[in-house]
Amino acid sequence: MTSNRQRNVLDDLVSGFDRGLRTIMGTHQASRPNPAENFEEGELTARANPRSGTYAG
Amino acid sequence: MRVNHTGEVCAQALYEGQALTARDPKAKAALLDAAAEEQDHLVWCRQRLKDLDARPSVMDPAFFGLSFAMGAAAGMLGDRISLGFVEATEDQVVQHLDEHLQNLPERDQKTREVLEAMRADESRHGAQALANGGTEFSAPVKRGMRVLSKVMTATTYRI
Repeated sequence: MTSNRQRNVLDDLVSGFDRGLRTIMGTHQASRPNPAENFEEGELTARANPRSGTYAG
Repeated sequence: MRVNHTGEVCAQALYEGQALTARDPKAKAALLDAAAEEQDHLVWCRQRLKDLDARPSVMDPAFFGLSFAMGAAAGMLGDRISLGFVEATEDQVVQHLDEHLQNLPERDQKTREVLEAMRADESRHGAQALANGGTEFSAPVKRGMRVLSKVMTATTYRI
């Protein structure tokens, strides 16, 4: 069933709030494949370990 | 990668805020389309953080709220300014990604692939914003935005 009802500001607020919650909670789904998925995990040194607090990135 | 993830949280919030107050339906649709692509970046960054046994920043909700308010305010200033804000923001993001790519360990190919795909999208979003009628911001305004982005990156680097 389709609806011709115009979207109003409340609709935009509710859908925006929903997307905002998904952003914070990390529950979005990607629409494209992850570019990293076909690459092997490289061996990272202590400098590159995120838990070391000195990660270059 | 935590900084990149927070940047994508901010991007989502900015686009949502701008779309909420955009006047032209075409500008609103363009903003929401860009936000949908930014969702991919968000998912990819989160996955990479998980791979690296790291967590997102605890500051993400605060930056989301702040960015949403900034986006909504930019949208209220009119679509030309709002789209110009998109271009200026994406310009900052591209500069940040370039710096990150330069500092990335050579063996971290997975992160490199993610960052390069993000960079291509961000660069295109900026160009599209100008093509859709955005006003390019002056260099001093962009420098001011650069200072703000440094606050975000310095904060989320560790927490």
